[in-house]
Amino acid sequence: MADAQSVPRLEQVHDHGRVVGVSAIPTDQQLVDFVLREARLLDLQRLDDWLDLFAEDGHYWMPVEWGQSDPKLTTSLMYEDKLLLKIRIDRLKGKATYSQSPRSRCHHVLQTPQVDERDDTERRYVTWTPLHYVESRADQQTLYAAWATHHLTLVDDALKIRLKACRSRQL
Amino acid sequence: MLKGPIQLLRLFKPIAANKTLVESWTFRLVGAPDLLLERTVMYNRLINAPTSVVGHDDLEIYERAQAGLASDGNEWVNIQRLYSADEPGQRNVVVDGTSEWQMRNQFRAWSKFMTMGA
Repeated sequence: MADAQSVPRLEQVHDHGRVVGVSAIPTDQQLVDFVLREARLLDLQRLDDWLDLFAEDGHYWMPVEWGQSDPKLTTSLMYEDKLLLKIRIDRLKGKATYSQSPRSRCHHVLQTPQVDERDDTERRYVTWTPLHYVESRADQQTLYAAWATHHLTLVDDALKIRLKACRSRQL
Repeated sequence: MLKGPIQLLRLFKPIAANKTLVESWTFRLVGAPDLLLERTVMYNRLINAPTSVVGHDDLEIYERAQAGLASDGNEWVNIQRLYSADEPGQRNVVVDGTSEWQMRNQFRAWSKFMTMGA
């Protein structure tokens, strides 16, 4: 798989009658492929490559309540910026991380992601992906059902995650 | 466990010998700016949440200790570490952080109250 998720560059983009200028527009299929690849990188434990999928101001959010809309003033399982995600990955690499020895493995079974929102002018794309997530840790295996929402943008013509929100189980 | 400066309360409820419910409560101060609650909620995510990065190794220790207690390998739990014969009756002393003096005191208290009036 290519490391960068480039999209075709177009000379001019007409959107709602306005000329946006030189830009790049991802197809729906490219948005779908991006979400599938994100899960694949996690399954393969290519966590540094996975982190690269996030924009510099990107966040990963796991709310704890149904319909929760505010990550900052209400309790969440996690709401982490790129630095905290990097710490999470670095911790997994640590030799003293004995709760992750052996490391957990995971497997994503995704439904086809659906493109819910598309704003080519603002480079704002939102996909919705129902999924089953299986995780094994030592001799235990756990199954979760979740909905993943990806808020994507373009940075230097590459798709990046502004926000991944993962609503798990009964949520 | 109350953390006053960040308005956070953690409540440990023993349910069974192998089960404890840990509740985490965050409090919003009346009239205080949102930033304070934001900080409380962030601490709760980073430290208390089941998804916390700092909790996993502690929980692993609890699970291993529980597995050890459940085994028949040894009927004794050894809490002799840094034992000193002059411990009983002393109050408010500072000792090495790995001393199990506080565990010994807990059992001294248990023994005292269980035999009180006997």
